[in-house]
Amino acid sequence: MSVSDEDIDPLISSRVRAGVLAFLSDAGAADFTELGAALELANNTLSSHLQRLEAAGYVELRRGFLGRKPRTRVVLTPAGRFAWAAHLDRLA
Amino acid sequence: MTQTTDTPQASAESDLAYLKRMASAGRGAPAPFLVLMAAFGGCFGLSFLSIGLLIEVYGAEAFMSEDPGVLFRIAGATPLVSQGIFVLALLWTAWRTFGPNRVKLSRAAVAVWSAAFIALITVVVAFNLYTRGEPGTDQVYTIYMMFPVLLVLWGCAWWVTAILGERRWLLVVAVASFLAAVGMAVIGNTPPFLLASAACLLGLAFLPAVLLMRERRG
Repeated sequence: MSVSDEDIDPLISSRVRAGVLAFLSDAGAADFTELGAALELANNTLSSHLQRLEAAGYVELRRGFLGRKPRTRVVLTPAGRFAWAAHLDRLA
Repeated sequence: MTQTTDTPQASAESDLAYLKRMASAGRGAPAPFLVLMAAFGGCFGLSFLSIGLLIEVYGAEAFMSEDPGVLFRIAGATPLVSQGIFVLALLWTAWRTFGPNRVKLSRAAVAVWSAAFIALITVVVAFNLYTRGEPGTDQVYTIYMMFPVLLVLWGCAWWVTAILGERRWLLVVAVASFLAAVGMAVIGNTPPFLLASAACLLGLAFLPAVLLMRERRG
């Protein structure tokens, strides 16, 4: 991985945020709880990372209900997919 | 990209391993398309098998007689029952794909299976348009070509699923589907056609779909 720090998208330079995009890269969406379990993160930590990705337009947080339970879907946006692909290109 | 105190090489490797693990954990399933494929292969395969075996044993003329007997009536009804089950599986697939309690689907699997099913419907419509106004015998003759087309389409879908999931045995199924397509074109409009169709449906559609579903549960 011979990539200089300037080449890396600062948002994806975080291991956790890169992990979020990697997790979402195939299916395109996941539940907040599923994502937290996979990344082994506390809810508030994951939340702060997701807010940064959402602010950059890389993910969309869709809040809703499944039956009576509140549910947050984390959806990878086209911009996020593009950023992830560019990040992989730089790593290659 | 990492805050660890390892050497740069070690931390880069650790980061890549982490990302690979996350990408793998987030990978979606090709189901519910597998359920659809299992329903299609299983129902029509058993239907064709029962009709083919009865024809082998009693001859095709037995179907044409005024009172063919209960076995023939049941076998004659199986294609209609299979269509009904397939439509139910289709509705269930749509519900699991687009409904509120949708399953996590692989983007690539959705792309290839939806493309294969849309291509199949398009081919059926195109074949019908091509044979419109033609004598019935010509229409029947053209239908024999449908099965090789079908085999090629699901062979493509298995091929992509095999490569995405790194399953060599599924690649063998895909190649067998292509070879079967050629074989079915050779034996089209001959008595073994029905039994060969049943073998393809059960061995190259139903069985791989069931094995993949069991693998995911295991």
